[in-house]
Amino acid sequence: MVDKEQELNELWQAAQHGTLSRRELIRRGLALGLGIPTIGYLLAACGGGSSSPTTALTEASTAGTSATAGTAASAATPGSGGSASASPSAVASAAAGSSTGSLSFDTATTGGGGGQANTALAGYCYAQTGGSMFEVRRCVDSRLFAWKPDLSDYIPELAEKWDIDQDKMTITFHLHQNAKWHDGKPVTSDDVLYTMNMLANPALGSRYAQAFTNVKGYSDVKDGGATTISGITAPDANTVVIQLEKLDAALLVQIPDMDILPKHVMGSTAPAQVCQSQFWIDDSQRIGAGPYKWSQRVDDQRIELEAFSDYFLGAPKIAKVNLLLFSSYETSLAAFAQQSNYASPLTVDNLDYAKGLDFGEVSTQSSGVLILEVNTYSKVEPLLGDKRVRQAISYAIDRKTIAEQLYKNVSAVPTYWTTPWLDWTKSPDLETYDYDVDKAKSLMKDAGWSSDHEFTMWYYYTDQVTASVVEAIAQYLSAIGIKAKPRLDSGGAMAASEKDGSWDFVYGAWGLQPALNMSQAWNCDTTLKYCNSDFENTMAQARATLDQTKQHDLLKQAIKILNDDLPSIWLFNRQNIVVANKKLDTAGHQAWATGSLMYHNYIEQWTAKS
Amino acid sequence: MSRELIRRAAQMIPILFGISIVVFTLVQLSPGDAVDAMIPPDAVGVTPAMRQQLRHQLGLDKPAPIRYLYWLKDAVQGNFGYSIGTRQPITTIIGQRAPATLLLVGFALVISIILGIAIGVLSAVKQYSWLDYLVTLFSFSWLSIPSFFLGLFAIYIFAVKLNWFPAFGISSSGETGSAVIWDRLHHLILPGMTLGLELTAALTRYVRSGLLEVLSSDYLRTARAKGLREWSVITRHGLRNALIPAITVIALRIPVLFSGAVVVETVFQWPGLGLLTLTAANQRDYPLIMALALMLTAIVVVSNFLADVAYMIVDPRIRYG
Repeated sequence: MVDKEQELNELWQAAQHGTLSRRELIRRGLALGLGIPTIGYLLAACGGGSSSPTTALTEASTAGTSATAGTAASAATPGSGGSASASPSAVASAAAGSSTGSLSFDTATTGGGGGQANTALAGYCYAQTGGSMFEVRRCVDSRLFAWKPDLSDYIPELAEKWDIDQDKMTITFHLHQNAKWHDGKPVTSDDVLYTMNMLANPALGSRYAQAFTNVKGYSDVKDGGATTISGITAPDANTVVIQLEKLDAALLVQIPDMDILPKHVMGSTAPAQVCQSQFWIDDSQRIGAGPYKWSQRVDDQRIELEAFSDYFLGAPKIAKVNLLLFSSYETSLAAFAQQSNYASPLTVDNLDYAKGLDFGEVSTQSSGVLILEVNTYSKVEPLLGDKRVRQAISYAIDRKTIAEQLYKNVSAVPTYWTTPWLDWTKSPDLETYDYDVDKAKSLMKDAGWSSDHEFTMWYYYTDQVTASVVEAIAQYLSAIGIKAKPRLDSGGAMAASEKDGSWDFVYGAWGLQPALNMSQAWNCDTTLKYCNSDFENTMAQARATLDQTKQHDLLKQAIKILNDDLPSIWLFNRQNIVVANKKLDTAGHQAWATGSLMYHNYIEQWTAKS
Repeated sequence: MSRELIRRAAQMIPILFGISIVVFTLVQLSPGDAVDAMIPPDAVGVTPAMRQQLRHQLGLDKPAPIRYLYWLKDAVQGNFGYSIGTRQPITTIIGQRAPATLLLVGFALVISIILGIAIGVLSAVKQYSWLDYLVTLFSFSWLSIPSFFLGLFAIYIFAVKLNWFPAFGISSSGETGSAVIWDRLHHLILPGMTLGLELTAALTRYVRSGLLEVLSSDYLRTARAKGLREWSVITRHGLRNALIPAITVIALRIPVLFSGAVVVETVFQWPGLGLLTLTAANQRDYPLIMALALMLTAIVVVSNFLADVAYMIVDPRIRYG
């Protein structure tokens, strides 16, 4: 029996790697007593070239996007038969047997923890604040669909396809038939309904609640008149239907943030108590539907995960993953240098050392922008609300020199805040605000600036590079008559000044977001209180269409408005710098990307040499 | 003597109470709260109203004196509440972390005492030799170098370059059976030595000077005249008296070891109370900060108390009025 299992394992691996001919595969499969359907799956995994799990997912993702883009009625369907997730149980167990080895990497590799290395399970309850344990969520949890790492597209996860009807007011998600929770129970539409209703419930206070703004019945939940959104229904165990009152493309953009939670574990918890639930901290209760099962947490050391052999997108190839927790970048890098940590985040200061490690490969990913927020409604100096003053500030700061000298050219100078690598966001119309102190002085003069008030420039990152950058900015501002004194704070006094509106400038970082989310940051309700009807109308129009070309044009207009109005000063593209061990094979997929967005990193396909 | 001990023990209560007020006030005065720490300033889509709602859920919107009284009422019953960061009972968290710190501090203490006394004796006996000069040089170096630098240096040399020891952590994943003991020791050596070197250096200096003082005293000359071997003269007669200042140093340095553990545990990612303290401070987890600060205070007070007791035992002439 054991021999037979072993042979089955070998057969499965050979099928996956395409090292057997179809004829040989059929012959050996029949000899093992496998049925024709099972052999069919093996054949599909083997091959014919185009139906590897990776390709199948890519096809599905493309189709999914076309659905969101308005070609609509044609449902998004994954590649037929190619996905390992479609395998019968016999094959799944064979694949489970092939999970070997272990992998350890710093859980802060893709950022998180507010820009600091994770020291503990800060923000463990993603449902309320978004959390910071992004790598845990990527490994343990699943959502209906995730982002591609470059945010250009979606990758189906629990929803293997979704349709949008002709009038663009109904979205139907078809759940993966084989999706299971780590305790073996099936993932059903009830779980999706539970999660969405829980997120929408005002008692929880989730940042994701506003995603349902245009869903039928959400206003009743928001007002406390109902506990479930009437527009979200489940006709059967594998189908979820969302009915909109108004077309809202931004809803889809936020679905990757919504990890689906197990109703059979969480269901009895009141929404207000969700984040107090033992689910988040009790190893035995913490289940998901992702590729790795939560094994145990060793405080301030690591979170140990085990491959989930029934993962619906295919059993992971690496048997154990340790997500390491570090409170210091230097210790993480030392562990990497010792090769007990396969991926580590880097600071610019450590970049040269990491590049010198011959077994390491350094990569950078955009993770947002470093920005100078300006209090445009300042009572102390109303001229901060004059866009000429903000434009002058942008011209007055030699960002290229700072990027060269202090960021070692890792951080480029941006013209806007969204996905800079996507072609459609690039526009020659955008003002680049190259360093021009004369122009800056001229703008200040036109605005009538005469203030000799000493402004506070808050910053909250404690590294030396940040301190140097804010000092440099203060010097540049003094050249155009703005006295700004840098002041370090890790969130408290700064937050208080933001709350009472007495703040002046804040130097900080904004996480990268898809362009459709721009209106989340720029609106009248945030600390920045950016109220611009042109911008709001343009964004509203962009949200109200699924026509990708039209939507992109509108978003470009919105970007142009921000580029001209400069409610904050875009300074540098923020980069996550990662060094990864070359022994880590991510099967051709981008492993590290914008950490705070739920992209699919295909960890189930990774392998690592010891 | 027992009445004296009881009186000294009773003095600890108002000290702990006073410290609790001071720590609570300091925590309140420090900028930010748990919500600010929980949600990064750059979190997109989080409105001030959401932050306020979270504050309400965590009870952070009540006035500070009320929160202190709530805390005090529970604390005197041994209930330090729940951590804001992890929502676990604080006694459970501290109970989970204390063994790691006790192991680290205990190892550092034992190593320091053994090495400090041995090297101090050798240095005194071989006064003005190359060994004595070398010991003096290293002692002053170890006393001068901050432990975070020493830790990083040790990691670079012994973990990264020589690969003798792990660079971080308390254990490896997946070790079972007797391998766990070796694995734990393997992880312990670098942080333990880093933490203990300063005390070793201090003890070396105290033992050396204490021993040099007594080596030329009359009673040692008498002991030698009785025909005792030099080694016996030093260890049985000289060392006992030379150790009186060393005992004070040891007792008074125990709190220093615990506070030093904050830095060493952070550098080596050692999951003890030191690292927990740093995490709690970063997260503005005030119930946890309060409990840890009280515990550290208790360690200081108890260490001083033990120093007094030890002094009374080794030198019966000492009495506190």
